[in-house]
Amino acid sequence: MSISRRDFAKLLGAGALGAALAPGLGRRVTAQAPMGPVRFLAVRTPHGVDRDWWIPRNGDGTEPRTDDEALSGLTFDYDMAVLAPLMAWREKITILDGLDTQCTKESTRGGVYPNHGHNEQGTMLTGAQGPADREGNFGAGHPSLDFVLHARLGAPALLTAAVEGTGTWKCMSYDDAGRFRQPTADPRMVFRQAFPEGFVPPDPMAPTVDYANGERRIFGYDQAALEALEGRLGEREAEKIRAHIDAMAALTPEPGMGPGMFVGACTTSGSDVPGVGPNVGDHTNVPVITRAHADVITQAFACGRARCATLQILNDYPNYYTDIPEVRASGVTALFGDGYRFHEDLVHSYWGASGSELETIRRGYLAGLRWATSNFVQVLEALDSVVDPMDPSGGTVLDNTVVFWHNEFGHDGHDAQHTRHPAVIAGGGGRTLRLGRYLRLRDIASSERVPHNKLLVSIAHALGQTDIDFFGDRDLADRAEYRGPLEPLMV
Amino acid sequence: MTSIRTLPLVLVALALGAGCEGIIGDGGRNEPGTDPMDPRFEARVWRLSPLQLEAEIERLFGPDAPAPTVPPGAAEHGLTNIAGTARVDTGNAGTFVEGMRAVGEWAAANGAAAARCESYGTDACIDTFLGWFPEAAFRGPVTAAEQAELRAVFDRNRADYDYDYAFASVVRAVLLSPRFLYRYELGEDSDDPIVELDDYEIANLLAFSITDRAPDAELLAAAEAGTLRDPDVREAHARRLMDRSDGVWQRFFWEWLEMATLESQGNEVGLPPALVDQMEEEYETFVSRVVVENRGTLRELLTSDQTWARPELAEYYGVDHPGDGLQPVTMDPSQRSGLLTQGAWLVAHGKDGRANVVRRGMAVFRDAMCRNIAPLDIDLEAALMELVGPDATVREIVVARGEDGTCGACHRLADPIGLAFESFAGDGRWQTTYAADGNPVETDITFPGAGEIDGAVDLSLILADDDAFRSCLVQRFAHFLMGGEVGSPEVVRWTGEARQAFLESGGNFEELLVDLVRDPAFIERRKP
Repeated sequence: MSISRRDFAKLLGAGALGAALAPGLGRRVTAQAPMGPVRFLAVRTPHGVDRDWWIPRNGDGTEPRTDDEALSGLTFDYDMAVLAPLMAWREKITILDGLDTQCTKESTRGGVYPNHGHNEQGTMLTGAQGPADREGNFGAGHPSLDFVLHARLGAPALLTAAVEGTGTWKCMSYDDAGRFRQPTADPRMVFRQAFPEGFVPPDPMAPTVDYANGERRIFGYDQAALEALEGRLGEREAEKIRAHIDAMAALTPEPGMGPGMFVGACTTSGSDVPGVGPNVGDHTNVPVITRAHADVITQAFACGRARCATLQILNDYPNYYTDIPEVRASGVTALFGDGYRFHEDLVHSYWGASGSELETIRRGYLAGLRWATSNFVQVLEALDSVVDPMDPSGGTVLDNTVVFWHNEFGHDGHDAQHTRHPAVIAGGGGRTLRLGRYLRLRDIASSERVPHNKLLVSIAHALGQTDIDFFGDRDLADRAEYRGPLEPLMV
Repeated sequence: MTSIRTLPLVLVALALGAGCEGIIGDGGRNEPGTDPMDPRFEARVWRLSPLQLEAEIERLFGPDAPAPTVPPGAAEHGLTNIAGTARVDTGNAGTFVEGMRAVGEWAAANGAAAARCESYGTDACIDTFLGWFPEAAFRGPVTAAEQAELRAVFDRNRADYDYDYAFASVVRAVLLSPRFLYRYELGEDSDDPIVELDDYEIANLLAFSITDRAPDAELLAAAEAGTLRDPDVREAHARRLMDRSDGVWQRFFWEWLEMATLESQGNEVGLPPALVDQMEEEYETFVSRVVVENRGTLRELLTSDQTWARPELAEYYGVDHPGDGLQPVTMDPSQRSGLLTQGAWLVAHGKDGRANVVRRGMAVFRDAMCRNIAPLDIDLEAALMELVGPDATVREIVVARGEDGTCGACHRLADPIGLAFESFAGDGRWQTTYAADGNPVETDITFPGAGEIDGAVDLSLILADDDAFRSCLVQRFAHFLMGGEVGSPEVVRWTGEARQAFLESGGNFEELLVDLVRDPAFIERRKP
């Protein structure tokens, strides 16, 4: 982040919801553009991808001829295509080809644990070089994008969900001290974080009382004592109290703000707890739990209970991909035995194999990734199934959400690389991000790099935070190639 | 491969493990610039854990009040409720605010009962409420200024809104205050570089650390009398509170031994969820009976052949059950003795296939013996296949992995420990041959200082007397009790003395606790 914590707090107090209610913020808005507040959802699936089977292609199987093409003229419907389940969603997604987590290779300071491959999971949303300690924390000044946007947008809950797959080194979300935020694997718990037990949906027809002054008195209680307490603590401990004060300030409503923002109906109440728990058991439950999480996030977005969320659909272990019928049908069990392991045998071995062995591994590996795509489609379907109560144009929640789907590493002639990170943008970029496009960001075969930090800036802009010109590692803030949005993505 | 199979597996001397990163106890405190020999924490604030917060709402308003669902802080070494990482910030504050809003609205809806006043809706009622609520919530005396400010919140909001909102405002202001959400460990406001906590701070530290609950009446009376700086008084309260410490000890062993994976691994190995629940129930009962009820020792925890099970779990173990419900049962002592041979630990670290050796070996060697080993993203299994072939036995794989130039440095120390547990399949059931290939299970290993042993029963007996295991237990328990790293007994006086007391008592857990809370470092804090 290139803004200070104190500036940050001032911004928080300055009625962040107001920004949410001013769609477009000066950017071009078409008559059909959705008009609800923009939300942000980052989705992660594991195991990398092979870019060559991930991109859309022409009908004759060739790569897109130009760097910027409409997806409507391209297809995912070719043998072993990873994104085949997204064929029906081409108008609501954009494919970013040639994005790199270049920051992990900068090595501007010691004591960083970049490791290769898997640790980049945390880098994806922090834009930082690597964990600063063995526990996987990124250190002060390296929050993740969801955390920063949530703080600015001021919704009650920041949702951090996972379909199993929790773990120290595999988190997506980090607070402003760079500490990982452990995701919640139980959709019922995620729901409860968004919807307290007694929550009832606001009645848009009921007269509203402006409680802003009352809330200000509650949140401001004992401020003088807290400031005195700050002075008695060392820096690390005092920071807790400052965070508390800042957080309360961020949640203090401005006069005039309230449930009047709804133009439609939020229909979720605190008793609508989903019936799905966290236990995966086997691969067949992954889509079920994924959908339950996605439904909760959709409800929370629709009811103004959250503006930002992350959803991690499995870690690398336990290895549920192993039992997917299409993977097994590829012949990998004949190659590695019945007890083969998807990640080790297919992801890693993929790059050293050749001939018919490579063909078998590739078929199995890509079948697993296609299954991951179908899980991602569950998320899109959930978001698109609810009309946004805050959108006068009648768009769905998906239309008003920037969805960023990625995984923990790319491939570039070998597995677990920092280059060619797969990235799909979906949903609510309709206002500021271009949808329905294939965008080749660089010459794929060259050593040119496009830092993914620019994508993080683009997303921040899409959510109205246009003062953010850089997002990522503090040592790279002055590097021009890391600054600004991804221009080809912007409307 | 025959020659490999006939080789005795030797846990080489620890000195040979120089290539395996980390030492026993993995060093001292991690605060740059501080003296590693000085175990005292800096003045700090420590946020209530989700469990403690829930208990506090119940204490103040009864069991029907809505319990806030708040996120935990980050764990350290699997230990939760860490003082340094749990806080309220912009990422989670909404959850606290919403949770306390629900409590406030509930209190207003319950009126006189919640306020403990005669007639809700009157000035007299809010006076009564302010007379007890802030002091109870803050777990200590309330200043006149704090009282006055709370009354002002009420009066102003009563002027602008209705009585319910104004009443709920007081509830919410108190419950969102750091004085409620955090425990303070500040000591006197003086220029001394080292200060003692005040008596109420000590009462809170004792109570929450030992029982996960607020100070009871006796502790508050001792705080008011100003006696808690006396180590004898602290000891007396610690011994008294041991009776209510079940949940804390259950949480400690669960977290130190990394057992949170029980549910997911139970699913993965195909156990019925109800049986997995019974394993957790057995674990909790076993820890309560051994540690709290019997005031037992590490040896009893690791070697007792008595446990508590329901009929389905007894059948899983293949032992007799006297009837219905949770009952004491006796394990076959040749197969199982103590915590590490019970279903909960075995399944939490179990997996189908051949990964059990690594999982269980590392669970003991790395987690329970405090070796700080970084994970490596290396496809060792594939490399091993080339070395030993797909038909290699588990033991052959263990030997080959130990000989690997990179990974072997740690695996040759950890894997033999895992091998000793191979009599238990991934689902924790007893096995003498492997289901996959029919090969016989081999569990004989050589343990440094103990010679040749065979299986998990022998290993548990050895671990109960093992220096690294006991030192790690002391280090992690101090970390758990204090919500932060105190340091290795090899380096830090406080934990070193606690280890000595623990050993001299025959590994008694109560004596370990008492020694830690008697120490001056328990109540002394460094000024920033």
